[in-house]
Amino acid sequence: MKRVFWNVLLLISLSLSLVGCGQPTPAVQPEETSPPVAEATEEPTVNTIRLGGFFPLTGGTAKVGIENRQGLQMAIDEINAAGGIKSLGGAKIEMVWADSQGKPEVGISEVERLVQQENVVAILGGYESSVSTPATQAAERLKTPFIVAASIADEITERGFKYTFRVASKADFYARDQVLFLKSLKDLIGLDVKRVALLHEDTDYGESTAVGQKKYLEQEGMELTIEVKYPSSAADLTTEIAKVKATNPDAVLVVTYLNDAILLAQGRLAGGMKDTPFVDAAGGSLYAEFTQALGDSAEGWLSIVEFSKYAPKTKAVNDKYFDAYSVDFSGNSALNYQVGMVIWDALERAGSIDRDAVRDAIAQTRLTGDKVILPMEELFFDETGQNPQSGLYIGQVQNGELIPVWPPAGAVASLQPFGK
Amino acid sequence: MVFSPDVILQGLISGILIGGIFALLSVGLTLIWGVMRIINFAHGEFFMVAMYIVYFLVEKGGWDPYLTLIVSVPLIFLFGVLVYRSTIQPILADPAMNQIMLTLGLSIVLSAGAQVLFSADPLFVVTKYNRLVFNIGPAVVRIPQLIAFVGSGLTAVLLYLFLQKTDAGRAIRAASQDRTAATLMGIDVERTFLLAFGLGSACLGVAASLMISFYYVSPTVGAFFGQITFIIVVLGGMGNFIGALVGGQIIGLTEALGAAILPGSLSRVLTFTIFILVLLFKPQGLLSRTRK
Amino acid sequence: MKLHTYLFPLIVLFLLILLPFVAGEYVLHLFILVLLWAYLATSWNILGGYAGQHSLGHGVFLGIGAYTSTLLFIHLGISPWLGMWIGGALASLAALFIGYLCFRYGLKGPYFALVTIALAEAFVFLTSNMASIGGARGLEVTWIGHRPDMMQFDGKMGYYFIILTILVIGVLITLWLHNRRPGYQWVAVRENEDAAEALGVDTLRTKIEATVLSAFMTAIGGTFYAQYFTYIGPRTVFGEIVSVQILIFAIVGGLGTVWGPTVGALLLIPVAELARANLSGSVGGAHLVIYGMVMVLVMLFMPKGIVGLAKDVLSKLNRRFTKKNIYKEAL
Repeated sequence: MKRVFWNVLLLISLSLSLVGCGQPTPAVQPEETSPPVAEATEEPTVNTIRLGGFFPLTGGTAKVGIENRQGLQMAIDEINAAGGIKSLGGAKIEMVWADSQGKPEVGISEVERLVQQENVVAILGGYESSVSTPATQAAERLKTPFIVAASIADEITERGFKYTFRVASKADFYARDQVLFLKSLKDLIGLDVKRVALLHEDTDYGESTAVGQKKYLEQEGMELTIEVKYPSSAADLTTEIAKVKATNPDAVLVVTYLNDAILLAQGRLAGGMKDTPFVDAAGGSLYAEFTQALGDSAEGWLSIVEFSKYAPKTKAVNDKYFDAYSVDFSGNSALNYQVGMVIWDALERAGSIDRDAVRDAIAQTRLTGDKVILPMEELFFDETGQNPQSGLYIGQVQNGELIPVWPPAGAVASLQPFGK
Repeated sequence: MVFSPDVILQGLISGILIGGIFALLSVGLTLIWGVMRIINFAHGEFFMVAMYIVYFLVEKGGWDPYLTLIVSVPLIFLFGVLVYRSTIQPILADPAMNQIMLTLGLSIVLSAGAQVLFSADPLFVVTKYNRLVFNIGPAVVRIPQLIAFVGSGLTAVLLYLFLQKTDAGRAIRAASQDRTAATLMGIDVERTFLLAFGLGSACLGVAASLMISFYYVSPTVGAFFGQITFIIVVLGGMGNFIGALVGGQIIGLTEALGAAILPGSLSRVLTFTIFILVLLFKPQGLLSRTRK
Repeated sequence: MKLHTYLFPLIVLFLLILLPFVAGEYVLHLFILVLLWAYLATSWNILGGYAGQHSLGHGVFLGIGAYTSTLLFIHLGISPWLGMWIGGALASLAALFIGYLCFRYGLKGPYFALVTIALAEAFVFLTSNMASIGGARGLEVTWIGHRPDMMQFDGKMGYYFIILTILVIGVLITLWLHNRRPGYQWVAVRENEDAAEALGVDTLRTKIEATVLSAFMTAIGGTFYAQYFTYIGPRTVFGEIVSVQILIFAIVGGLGTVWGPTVGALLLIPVAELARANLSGSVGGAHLVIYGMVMVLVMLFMPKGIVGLAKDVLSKLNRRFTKKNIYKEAL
């Protein structure tokens, strides 16, 4: 009796193992050896290039993850509509989506799956730095190119990796531009900013930006009056704001997610700080919900902005995105669209789906003109894989929208009072 | 460490206000715990469910947030009863750990389920009450929070009167003191438990209607408040009604004053430390006369 | 009797040893996860299943193990092979302290569980605020190439065999406990502490021993966790969620049984991974709902877990078939 039972269990576990041992899906047949031309003369059955899309599609950051994916999807649709990758015989791109759930260990699992099981040529995306950091390391060990779209932690491109590239700015650049903006207030409106307070949420996002902020404040000779951290799930931030106010800063730099951004925007008005500029680092204030929930209370709020539909060359592509998804591009979706453009160009130049060839092609990217929708002259990667020309705007909420007011070259409107 | 009087005043006020709300959330849990000796790990998630109900009433139905009380309270009461009947009643006699595991599983189902249904977005409601404030000196008092504080107090008083003055209430108290004796006295303990569980959950409905004016709803809302309510209930003593109220204030003040004085987000560590100390040295709660 | 009992597990072990040579990298990855969580659940089971003290905060020990070996590696270049033992020792010390504090003051059952949750969460916030050990950003185990002496491998096989060995050792320890006096004492404490005390069992010492052993084992798992995932942060290793995850497999598989945790992990993890791979786009987070439901259903209908239930069924069947012998013995 016992024997039978155990043997049945044995059978079950064996079959479970077999389920897992599915054949990994091949990329394009055959790999590495045939020249591109030969593939065009193959069967009319779909010839596809598999790319991995890596985002938090569920979990706490799912909303942004999905938004990121949409940006990338639009770029891929454009590529396929234009006839695919010409140098590979018009091969179309097939996206394999991976859900990191916003967790590092899940992200690593997914990278494994994308490379080993799904055989993708390259991985695109990444949102949370805490997930992208180990995920890119996993990709590096598997010698698979990973173009990071939106993660900003500095270390991602500071590890000497060969296969990691990043289109987004580093956290450092966000901090740099926040401080440069504060410095420029003297010329813009005659406000000499000497004392600055930092107020940010306590996960790695807030912390890595704060590191940069402190560095640049010191560089510019501005005094850090206080650094206040709070748990991002806080129900109420009036005390934190009072703490900041007590030190009498000329300006406050913040790093937020959505709900704390709302609490801060409300709280600073109630707390009597309406005339103090609050500058976010492209955090929660970039969401439509921010201005919706706050109405007039959001007026005058400032933030780093990665993308603006008001910039001359971006109107067309923004309209297209709006038609497809009924919202404007956000910094995140724009960054991912940009990544799509990068991989398009790289694949065309590589003419191969060999991961190393693609990697080299990405490294040699020099994009200009229509294909660059972010504020920079030319998109290229330095030897660390970072896009060094990445530039940012500072936007201010005016009439319910974030309008670029800095740098002067990209400003669309002038600076309004910091709060109503 | 910062010791500015303005900030401390703000901390004091915020602490008292939020403490009242914490108290309301905890009163339900202590009732359930005291009567049935069940630690409902899904208590926070019940609150989350209530918040979603209220959110949709206000956002889609255009209801005034405070009017939703009419609906939220009975609905959550029913929800609590349903859950109790289907999952908790069967295991009342089982070891405590099984009950804990079950309610833990329940909390996961509820929060993950909410995520599947409504996505993880934090949802805000824009009401005319959101931005009303007034000042006490340099400190800010947000009117929705004040209303919530008052509402919590009222609910607590009502609940207290119910427990003291009505037959059903007395039955609940009897059952919590001595289950067997209560049965011998002719009390339908089954029904009493049901009522207690329903009432404990209904408090969350009240809290949700009060809080939607200044807090957001998301699938993870339950986790945070759930933890806090456990701490408060232990602090005040399991089953101790007044204890929950006092405990709520203590924790509210700890969080707010901690945020006012300590650097970083260490106020949370302070809360946990107090919790652990109480568990070690007076697990019956600060307010109980020693009776282990 | 003995051969029967161990025949099946030995077959499974044999298959597991063969696996890396026939399966693809992704399947290996899946099994590494299974083995790791099986091991962590087994370690937890020592305290939770055998000694009956249900800790909901084992993340503390996991984290101490992971952080210790990683910090020693990053800052002093010490191999995780060595760092692992130091981490284990630290976790044991912590367990000693925590155990003494809790049990000395008579904390039992739910109260003990609550303290452990609070501790786990407190650790999350503490480490988040300590920039010197990575703060909220956590720590990355820098990849320095294929260095078995530093517990870093190209490919999965190295990791696979390490965790397989660790799991086997963990199971052996459990087996040893199961069949020897310390184990009996622990079970006595679990079933009826006062009676055990009356019989002369030093319950305080027993419980502390169990806590220390469980913590030590978990911390070793923590080092492996850090080396395999190459990234650890406050919330990924400490925290209530990880702690609960550790025990789900033990509960579903069977508390206080030798094979329960492994069975639980073997069943639940592939389900979760498959669910995520296939349902990601459409129904996000569905696998979590499955986990939660499994917990609820198991508690309602088979609280002893799969292995526990199997044992019950088997012994019932056994009795049915040996009824006559009972009478014989009585005579």
